[in-house]
Amino acid sequence: MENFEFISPITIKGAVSQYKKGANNYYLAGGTDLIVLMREGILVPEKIIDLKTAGLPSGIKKLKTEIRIGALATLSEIEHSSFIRKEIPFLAEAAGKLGSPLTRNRATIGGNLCNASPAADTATPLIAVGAKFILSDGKKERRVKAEEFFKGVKQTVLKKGELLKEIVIPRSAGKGIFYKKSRIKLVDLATVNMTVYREKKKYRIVIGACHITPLRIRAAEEKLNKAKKIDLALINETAEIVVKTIKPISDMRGSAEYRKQLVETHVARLIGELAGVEV
Amino acid sequence: MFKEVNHSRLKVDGLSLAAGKALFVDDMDFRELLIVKFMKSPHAHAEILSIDTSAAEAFPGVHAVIHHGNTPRIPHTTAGQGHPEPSPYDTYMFDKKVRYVGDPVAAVAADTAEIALEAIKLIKVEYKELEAVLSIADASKPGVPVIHDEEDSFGIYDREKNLAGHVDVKVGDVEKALADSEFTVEYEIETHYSQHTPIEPHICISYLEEKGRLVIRTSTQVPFHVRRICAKVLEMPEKNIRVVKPRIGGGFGTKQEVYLEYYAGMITKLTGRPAKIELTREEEFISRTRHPMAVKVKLGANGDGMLNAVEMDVISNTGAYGSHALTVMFNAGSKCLPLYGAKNVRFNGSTVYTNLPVAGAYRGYGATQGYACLEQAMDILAEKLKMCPVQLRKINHIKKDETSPIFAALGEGKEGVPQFIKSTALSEIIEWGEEGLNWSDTKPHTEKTGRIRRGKGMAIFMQGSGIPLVDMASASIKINDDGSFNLNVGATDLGTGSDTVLSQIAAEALETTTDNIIIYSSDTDMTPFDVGAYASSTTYISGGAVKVTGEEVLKQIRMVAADMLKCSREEIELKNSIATSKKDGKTKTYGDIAKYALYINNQFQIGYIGSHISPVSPPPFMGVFTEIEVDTWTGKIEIIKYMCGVDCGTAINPKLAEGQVEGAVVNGLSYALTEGYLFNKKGKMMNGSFQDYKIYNIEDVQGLEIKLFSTFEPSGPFGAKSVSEIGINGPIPAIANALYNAVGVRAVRFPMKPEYILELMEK
Repeated sequence: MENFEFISPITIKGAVSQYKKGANNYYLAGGTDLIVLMREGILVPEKIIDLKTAGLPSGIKKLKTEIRIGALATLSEIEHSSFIRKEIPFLAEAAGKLGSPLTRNRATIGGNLCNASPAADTATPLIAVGAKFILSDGKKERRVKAEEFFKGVKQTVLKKGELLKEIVIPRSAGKGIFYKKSRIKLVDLATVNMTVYREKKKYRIVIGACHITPLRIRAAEEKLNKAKKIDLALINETAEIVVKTIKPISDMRGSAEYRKQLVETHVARLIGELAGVEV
Repeated sequence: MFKEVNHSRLKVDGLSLAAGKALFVDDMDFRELLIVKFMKSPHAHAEILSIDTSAAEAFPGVHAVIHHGNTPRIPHTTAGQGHPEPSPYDTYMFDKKVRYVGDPVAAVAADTAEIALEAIKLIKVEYKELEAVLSIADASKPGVPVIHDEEDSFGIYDREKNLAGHVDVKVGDVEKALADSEFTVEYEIETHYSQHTPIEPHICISYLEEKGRLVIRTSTQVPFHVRRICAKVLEMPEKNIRVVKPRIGGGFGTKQEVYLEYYAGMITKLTGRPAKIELTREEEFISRTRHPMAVKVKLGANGDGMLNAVEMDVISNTGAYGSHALTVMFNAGSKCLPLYGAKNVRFNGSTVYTNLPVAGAYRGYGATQGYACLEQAMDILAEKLKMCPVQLRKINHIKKDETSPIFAALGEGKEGVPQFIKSTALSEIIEWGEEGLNWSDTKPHTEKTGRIRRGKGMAIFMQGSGIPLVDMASASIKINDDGSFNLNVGATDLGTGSDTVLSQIAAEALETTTDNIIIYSSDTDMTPFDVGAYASSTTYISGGAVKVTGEEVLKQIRMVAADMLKCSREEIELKNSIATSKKDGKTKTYGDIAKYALYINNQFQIGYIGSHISPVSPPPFMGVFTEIEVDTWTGKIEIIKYMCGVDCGTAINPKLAEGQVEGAVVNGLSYALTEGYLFNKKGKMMNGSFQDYKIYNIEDVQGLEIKLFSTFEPSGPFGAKSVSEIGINGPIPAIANALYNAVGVRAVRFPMKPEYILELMEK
């Protein structure tokens, strides 16, 4: 690993101003992605700015109408939080499927999201449940919908120096299911992942690893939302819409064709499970 | 009947391994150790126009940079076989040409690995890229580039056609027999790249001992071949080289290859300093691999199911260099075709060069690839005949006292030797599997519905035990004051347990117990010769040498005992380290006898060096019966039951023999279901890590049932045959047959990943 300067700012403002001072500076949260890339020589940062001292919120807060998850909350915390497991079990499940226990003990939800992999495991449940992200540039804060946060592979709406500070999730009575398919049982990125969510008979379908970003399939949702009765035929038609909308690539985790087959099979299964229809 | 063999004695190195005391190559410290790293070719096929190492050499901490411009150019093969090798001499320490992505261009020796890697970045190489040959299909097309166009290589069958080796053997008239057969089958598959993935990668350390001789401490299966090949490539006499093999973390064939030791030796020769080379996992994946093969089988049979004709066509891909090019291809025929007693047999094999990773010896050695096709073809024939596939095998498989013309026709890159089967439990194994899996309840795939469908499959196999009239092993035994024995063997324990097995054989032959045997193995200065651990030979061939030697030593003990007890040799009974005179019942212990011979009267060292070769290679046999579940939604195959019955003659150590079978089966399961290389368009392997290349571990295995069937092989030590390779042949054909029985599709490409199974089902 090459040498770098390590900075521990004590405020968000300090972190942002340090970051902006160079073109090749990186924020450090859990480091489970950053350090690996540095070891392999893929990233050679000038400065590493440690966010753990910068006063970002961590932990999970239960409020009356919303749940707040600090960007520095680890995936383990989310996986094991009895509150999250009760209220948003599919988010706990997604967090628990990422990497190994060692990785999850360090990796943060903020890091998983800002890294903006199309296969990010925590992305599809958050989009499905209608989460919002609070972003900060040290002076001002703004809110974006989870759905609008991702712009491409490793690209987000974050402006230079801007940070993801907190995740806001509305408390609701909806039900969701997360599914991840990877080549091996443990410690692997998703070949595909997805969340299907149902609240007051309205569905949200979000597919990961099949597009440059996690993708919400509105046309398929509408098909379900408009229907008077959900039966097997309708579910299969919906799954077909999903498959037609996604644009997966072929890589070592699977061919585009296989990803489409996986999505078709499992999105139908998930919808069926929420709608109480045998698939 | 036996006192020491056929009992599961504790592994002689078990406790030291478990306690972390046993020393592997890297467990010794050396002062001023240099670390050697390779600069590797980024191109699959290119000429090196120029190489400039000046900046690397000037880099602080670098002590030597070697490349084709400053090292001897000696054509050789890295195959690590006996002399003269049946593989083409087409490899050089470094060449002006690179032939696969990863081919060594230069090596840098430095104080640390980091310095070596930095220095490699400073080497400037100008390449002229050449068109690359990246598949079996492309290798022999007219107009494709010649991979080995250098003038001084030899032993290549037809370099213009990229043909490393070729054979066409016919017995009887196959064409006529096929034409006359009522039922015929033609079936073709292509097997895939895979790697041995020993947990300890290739590693060696070389250094100069006090008299200036070169010592190479290496993780090898073939210490004596390492010495011979290094002597040749380094242009120094064998007497100046000592090769030591400490404990090893697995080999499976890849450590038969001799291709790192001479680089380390070269560095030590140049610098006078110890030098270490250890491959990374990524490098290990493109070190040596299994030959991918296109295999076509034609079968002809009459309505009664008796086979008239068997034809096998094989095109083997040896990659950039012809290591084991000829012999692995030969073995696809010689280890598969004798299993069935057809009178008309043909084997037509070719081995082609490509610009892909180099293939080499790998557990199964061609038989695995041959059976992948043959045993599926047998099932297809059974279906055509409307006959139970188990029954078809029962009536056709080779039986005791039978022979096959193939034994004489096909050997190791040349003609073989005729032989008759003197021990086999294959019929019993088939009965056991048939009953255990309730074969009579098997339903055809057409009657199966639902998301999860079950299927049953079976297949039968044989392998060999060493290379007849080629493989030689020897052992030396001497007695110590207390009646214990030093057993020194050239044989190589690579985690297989051969040190234990050979100690048991010695103890049995010497009428003593295994704990009285002190074994030392695999050191070219200290132990007598052995070809090494390959071709399933150690128990059978090296065990034979230990038995002969033990028997000779026992004669000497008897002689001394007779002298001490004042009776004739015939009146001496030897048992449990005690000599008893039948005349008066007086006794002497082995300790008494040893001290008498060493100190008292007619003093001499009781001891002997014995050697052994075998005129035959008796096959072990195996039957596999498996039941699987196929998820028709995802294409995933789940093993429900995998029954594997093996006849290895007398199991010298039943626990270790079972362990060998288990290891081979698990190895074969991931070869069949998950392991595979992904190449980019330029021939670079893209998944060289355990993250992206899945090997099975114990968590992945379920429903495995192994049973050893005891027979007595008259040519083997205490009735033993081999056991280490045969198990890996089972998974592909048995699972593929079960897959067909479950969902009605036939796998012709591998591994049988969910993605591929779905693709087959869509068609």
